[in-house]
Amino acid sequence: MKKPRADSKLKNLPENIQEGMWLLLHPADAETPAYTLEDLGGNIFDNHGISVGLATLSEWRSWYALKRRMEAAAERADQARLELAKSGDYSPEDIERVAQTVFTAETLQSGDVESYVKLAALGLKRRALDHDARKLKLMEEKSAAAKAAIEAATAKAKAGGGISEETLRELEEAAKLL
Amino acid sequence: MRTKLIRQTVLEALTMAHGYALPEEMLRRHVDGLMRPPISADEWELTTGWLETNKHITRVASDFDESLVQWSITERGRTLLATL
Repeated sequence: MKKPRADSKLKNLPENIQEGMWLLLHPADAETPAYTLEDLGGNIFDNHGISVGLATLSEWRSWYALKRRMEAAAERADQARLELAKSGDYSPEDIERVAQTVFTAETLQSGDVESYVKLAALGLKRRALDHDARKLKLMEEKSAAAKAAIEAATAKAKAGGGISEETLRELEEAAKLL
Repeated sequence: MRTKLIRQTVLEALTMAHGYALPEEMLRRHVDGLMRPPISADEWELTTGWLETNKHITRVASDFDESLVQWSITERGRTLLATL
């Protein structure tokens, strides 16, 4: 049988109990003294009959800190996703990208969602401009190719003393590029 | 045993990301905080390399910062975690 990790006893406690344990270590107000890990260990034993060592408590604290941070980040990212979806200006793929950007920014540093959304939206606009620039370049290339083909066909017609069927076909093909 | 524990810790952290990709910096810091002794650079490379090669985690590009490495757990990764 698989042996459970020592800290899994704590991780599997109901969420409200874990939240309570966290608040004992990190009281919401400055006046309340914070529990040490030893204090918390005693509290858990008294209230839940679970005996845990300091290393296990320390592991649980690291794990729970990450969990809280992730939840807050995901909440902000989901909020940004909703705001963008409401605007109707973005594709579902773009909304996903912005939400991921918000999540990343939130996990790396604290800040307000609005700024991150603006930042990510700027990124999307930049990509749209890049796309437009590539499209324009392609159109210019097509136009130059058509111009060259028309010039070649005209020169051929002048040299041949008239427009042959073949030259006419070449001109039609070139016109399609425009 | 340690290799398995590092893989498990990485996968567990990624499952907490609510479907989003987690920046490597944060993931590494979290794993370091839970492993005694903290993991070496080689162990980290081996772990992420193995998990990525076996499609348990996937690299996600960032629009926020192109140099940022982010990881996300796959369905295969969730299945593996359940067996560890």
